[in-house]
Amino acid sequence: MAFTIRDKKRYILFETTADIATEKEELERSLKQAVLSLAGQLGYYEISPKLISVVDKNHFIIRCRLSGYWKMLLASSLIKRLGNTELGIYTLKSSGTIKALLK
Amino acid sequence: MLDYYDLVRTSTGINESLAKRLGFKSFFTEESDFHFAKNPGEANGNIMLYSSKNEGPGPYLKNGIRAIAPQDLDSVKEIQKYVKDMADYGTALLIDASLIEIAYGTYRSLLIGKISECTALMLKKDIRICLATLAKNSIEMLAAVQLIAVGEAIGLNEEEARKAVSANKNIITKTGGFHDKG
Repeated sequence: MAFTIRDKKRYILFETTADIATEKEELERSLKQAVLSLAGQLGYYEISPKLISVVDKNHFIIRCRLSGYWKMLLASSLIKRLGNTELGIYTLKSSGTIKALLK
Repeated sequence: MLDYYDLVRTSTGINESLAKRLGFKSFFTEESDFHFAKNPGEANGNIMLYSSKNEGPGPYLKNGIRAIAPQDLDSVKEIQKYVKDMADYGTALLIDASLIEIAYGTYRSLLIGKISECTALMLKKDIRICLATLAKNSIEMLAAVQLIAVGEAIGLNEEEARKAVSANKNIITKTGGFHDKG
């Protein structure tokens, strides 16, 4: 019998002030960079951010580990630029499942 | 459950719908709901933006300033000298989250560290701590949970951070517009 360790995850729905539909890769890079800059190489794993989907031009979903949830929120609040565009990122909702998040 | 409030410097794009989406009961805007004292004569019941380039908060404290918001690293260091006066006059420390948001690199790190020292000292002396974005535009605005996360970064525990965001209402001098008047 194989044993695995499952980490609890948190899905967060964000809203942005600028259009992000065409900048998915840039968005993911900025988020990861913000987390790395905030938490450092050792702390990055605790958060393990991942861009799950871009819902529409102003909304996207991020998944992170539950243990790094507050640091993920802090990192998101420190992102003020995406490429050449200035933007603000707001947390709208968070949940343990995507289904509940989009309800 | 606590109600959260934010203090902002702009009314552009601010409405009830946005407040609700971001998890706030209401926003309070400069001019319509609160004022920044520009000199000690205007201090009574208002908020002081304390920059190290300006005069110290001593005269403002004597004239009844309601809260002091340090605006740079030096003023965060300096304000620790006024802890006793702040406790005596019942003045709150207002943390301006937009300072941390727009800072970069080592300066941000130093700012967070110094604010943490400052909040620890204020909590020890039972000085009320408030935490607001004081946003100048929509980019600097944050959701309530993000403000709480900033609070945790500056050394508050989750409960203290929640109380700090909720306490913004207590330093407002008057309310108007669509804002909650309760």
